[in-house]
Amino acid sequence: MGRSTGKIYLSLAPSVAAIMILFCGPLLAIVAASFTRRAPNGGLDWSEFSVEGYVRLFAEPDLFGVLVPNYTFLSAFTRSLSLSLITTAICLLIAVPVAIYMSQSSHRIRNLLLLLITIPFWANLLARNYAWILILRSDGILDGIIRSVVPEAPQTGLLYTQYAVLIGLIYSFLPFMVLPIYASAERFDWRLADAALDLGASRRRVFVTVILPLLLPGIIAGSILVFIPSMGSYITPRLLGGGRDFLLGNLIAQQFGSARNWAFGASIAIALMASILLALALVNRLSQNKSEREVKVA
Amino acid sequence: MSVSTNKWRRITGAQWLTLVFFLFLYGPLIALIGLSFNENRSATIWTGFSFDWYGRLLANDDLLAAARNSLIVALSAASLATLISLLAAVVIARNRFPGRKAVDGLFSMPLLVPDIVFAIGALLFVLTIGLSPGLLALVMAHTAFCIPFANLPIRARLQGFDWALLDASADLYASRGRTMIRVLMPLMMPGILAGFLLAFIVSLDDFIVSFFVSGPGSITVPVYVFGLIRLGVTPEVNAIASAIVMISVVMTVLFFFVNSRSSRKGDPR
Repeated sequence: MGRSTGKIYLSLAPSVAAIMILFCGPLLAIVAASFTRRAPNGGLDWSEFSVEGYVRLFAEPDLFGVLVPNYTFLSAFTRSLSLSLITTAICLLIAVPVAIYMSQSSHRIRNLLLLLITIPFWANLLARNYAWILILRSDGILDGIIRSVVPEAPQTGLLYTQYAVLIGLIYSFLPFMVLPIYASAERFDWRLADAALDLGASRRRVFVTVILPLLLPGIIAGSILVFIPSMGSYITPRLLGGGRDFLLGNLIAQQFGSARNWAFGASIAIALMASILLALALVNRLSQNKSEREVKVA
Repeated sequence: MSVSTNKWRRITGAQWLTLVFFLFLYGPLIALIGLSFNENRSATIWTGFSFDWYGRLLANDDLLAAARNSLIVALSAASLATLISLLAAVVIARNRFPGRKAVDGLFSMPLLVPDIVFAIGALLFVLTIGLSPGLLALVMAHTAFCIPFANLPIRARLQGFDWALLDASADLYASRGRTMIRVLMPLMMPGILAGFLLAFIVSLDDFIVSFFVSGPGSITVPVYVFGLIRLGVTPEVNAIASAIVMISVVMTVLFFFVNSRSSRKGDPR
């Protein structure tokens, strides 16, 4: 040991430089691009500083150059936010009981279930969403199953609706919620719950005041891991959603594809990142308040 | 009465919910793989068993070229990401220095950025530095988002690492380099392997970043599959998607095996 701080920094330099270039470089490129203007041929006009992309988030000039409100971004943002919040909430409702159940199983079964969750977790996202096309499309697998019970049933017509997108998002990100909550539940000392019961608390009260608070780190981590990719999702709404149910990810991709307005696309990306950072700060604040309260109670 | 121990056992119905949860998780995958063996041209009506669609994949030159690109990118990106994480993780785990937390956080930062945001950033960055979309751009971008995944098992392996072993090696007159190669590396190997595998899987699976930074001759398998899906549901797509899922399953089981061995042998003595 006994290495000087300077030497430590020197040995970290290659890795830190690599991340700075490979990861922070692209992020800075977005910031830079968001302050440019759309070039006549569709690329970027780097020569001029402009906030045109940001203005376009809320308004755009009409034929006479007068700014009129533009709801493209706001409606995609609202849809993304509400779908992501619903996805996170449903994942949470499913994941908490499943994670608790897993953590209370025997060591062997626990490891097996863990492997079973990990497999779809790493299976290709595109293929997993494609599988839902097979299930949800008209005369697909779901319709087939329903008809085998009720022969005269009408088609469900779920594919290309918001419900299909919701199912797809839950399916895509559910493992992200279960794994961190399981990690918290596994460390949980169940004697605490028994102690609370013995002291006369009802089962519900034990769950709300003893178990849930101790699962909170896992719940927070899981919610972040579900919320962030949902907010930026592209594949699921692209494959399972109808043309009208555009989410932020699709809007960004469209600006870099057919719409060819990169400055606007970069501005949307910055707005998305800003809303995610805001959400993280909020969660951080809430969990800090919570632990402060707990200290006071103790 | 509330005297018996372990009374708060389960949430009512949790075992059924868990069962439904796993059916939900596996139903679509099983349906997809099942249908890929369907002899019929229609993609969702079962008529009989057949390997035909898989046979056709092997004769599909575009797919094979895409598979080659995917492998090149995944191998390079996973190696680079593992190397970058390893170099820093050892230093971070062993030393206390100002800014330690910030440097540590740098390695998980890519998890906080949605793929689509990083994807357009990578495209803009590649064009800004005068590179054109292609294999090199793919390797650079994939390395960046693979870093947190390579870092995870390596960091876990370093937790509770017995640094006295390195001091002992030095006391026995091994040079620094020799200590690294003969003592540190063998002990770190399971973590390195697990990190590499995880990064490899994540790179192979990526669609959105590859979609933006691959050039005409350098598309990867997911980008190729996406192009096919846009044209419609066909037995060929069923077969490719199933093959991809099955490869991920094998890789994940492999990772699980390596990782559980790595944690079981966590104590080097």
